[in-house]
Amino acid sequence: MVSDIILEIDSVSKSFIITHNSSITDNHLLVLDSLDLIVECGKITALIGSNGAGKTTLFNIVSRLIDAEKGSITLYSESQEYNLFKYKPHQLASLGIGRLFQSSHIFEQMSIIDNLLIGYQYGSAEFPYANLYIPGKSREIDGRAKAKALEILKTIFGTDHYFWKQRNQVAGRLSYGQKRLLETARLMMGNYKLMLLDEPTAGISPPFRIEIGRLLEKMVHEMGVSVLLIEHNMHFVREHADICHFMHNGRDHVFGTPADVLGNEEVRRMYLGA
Amino acid sequence: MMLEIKMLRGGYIKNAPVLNGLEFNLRSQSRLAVFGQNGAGKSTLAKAIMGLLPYSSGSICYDGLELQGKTPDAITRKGIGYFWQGGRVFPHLSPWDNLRFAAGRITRKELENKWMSICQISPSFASLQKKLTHQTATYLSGGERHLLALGMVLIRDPELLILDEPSAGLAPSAVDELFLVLDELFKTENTTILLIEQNLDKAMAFCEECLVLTNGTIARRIDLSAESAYSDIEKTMFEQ
Ligand SMILES: Nc1ncnc2c1ncn2[C@@H]1O[C@H](COP(=O)(O)OP(=O)(O)OP(=O)(O)O)[C@@H](O)[C@H]1O
Ligand SMILES: [Mg+2]
Repeated sequence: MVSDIILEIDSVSKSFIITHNSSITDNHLLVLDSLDLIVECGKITALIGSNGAGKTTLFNIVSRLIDAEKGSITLYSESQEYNLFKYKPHQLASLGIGRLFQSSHIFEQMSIIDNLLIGYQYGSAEFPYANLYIPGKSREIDGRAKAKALEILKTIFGTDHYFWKQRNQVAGRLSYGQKRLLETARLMMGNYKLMLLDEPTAGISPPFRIEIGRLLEKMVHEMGVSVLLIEHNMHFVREHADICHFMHNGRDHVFGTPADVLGNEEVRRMYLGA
Repeated sequence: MMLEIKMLRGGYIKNAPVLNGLEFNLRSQSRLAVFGQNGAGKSTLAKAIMGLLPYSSGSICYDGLELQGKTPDAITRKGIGYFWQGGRVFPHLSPWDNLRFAAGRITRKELENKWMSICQISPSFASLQKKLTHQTATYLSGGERHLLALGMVLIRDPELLILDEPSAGLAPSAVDELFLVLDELFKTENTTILLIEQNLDKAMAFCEECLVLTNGTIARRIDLSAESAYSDIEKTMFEQ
């Protein structure tokens, strides 16, 4: 049985021009080379590959922040098909695609709760921080957003958690691990069906890694979200991913269960080392 | 003693100290790891040493010299190299110009030699080679930028090297290579290393001792050659 697909990446290519010096003939860097990849519904799909392999570039293409040279990407959602290349980046949130960026996007001067509120999505909310831009929001919407943020804090983290206790304090005081956790939780303010997570655990100490892992599992197994996860932490991949893809030379080089992929001789040699 | 830290107290805002009377010594030509949860005060400690964070009390002595009140550039010139968590580069300069800028007064030839010796050990650093001059650092991937920032510190040959999470965001093989580069630096240049790491396995294999920080104090100092080292670290870090 073929399980449901949420995202289908079909033969996507992308190269960058790395110099305008016309005397250099090889001035193109081919990052994605007719890449095919499928993300299944309700699963955590890990994407691994060397630094510079093109993982974030792929996210940028799915998010529509950059254009591919060829190929297509299709989102399957509620028995509809969406050709993503017809959409603009700000429309992706309303299609149900959320993203955690590789660099932290927490607003340091704002409180914890306000950082959650800007992720609130209603109607045709825009990508990625809807509430920063929406003019003339009604009280009612504000009220709904706040209720949702409080509910997330209470049900996911509990009233003993520092997020709850310090919710009105500025987020700048949080440690890096806490910020990353908050940022991941903020995605739950949207109605996302597919989340693109770019290295949620880089620089995170083990206890926070466990918390982020738990949050991921909750999103996927209780809320039915599908996740495409870029990671360099193999413990995390082993523990949480259902499927793992190893990207190399711009292609989906090896894929399978995490155990299979991480046990693969080529993956060992080219990526895992030692 | 290379670095002597006594009763260090300080933080980002008044009345909310992150460092709570922290004390330790670091011998010259030794390798000391610093472990602790996010928020324990590891980066704050590094910033305090580098003069990036005024501390309210206590002292930091480097080679017998009090660092209190010294500017970050003066501290750098004393021979301390610092890798800032996450890695900072100048995005509008090419990677090569970033390296040249970081290298300070050494000649171009010396810089090239240093850089090449790193690239010889590590294919990951070497893969930056083809991107050094043709574009600005903005276009590097996250991990590539991180490697460049590491390169900027490593080529300086500091006497004391403070690394704040140098392996975060690097591919597993790149992490292995980084530790080979550090090992070489330690062996050939006798560099003293203070290593803040979340990758316990790697740091434990590399360093002689470690500190476990909790709530801005040193909860324990552990000899990493001891049989019980790992369980002692785990106990101190996770059971509070
Ligand atoms: N706008 C750009 N112009 C030129 N080159 C670029 C551009 N964006 C990315 N690149 C190059 O494309 C390659 C892939 O970058 P990408 O950020 O996708 O890597 P990655 O797999 O996410 O790596 P990491 O694990 O280090 O984050 C890199 O070599 C990078 O230098
Ligand atoms: Mg990336």
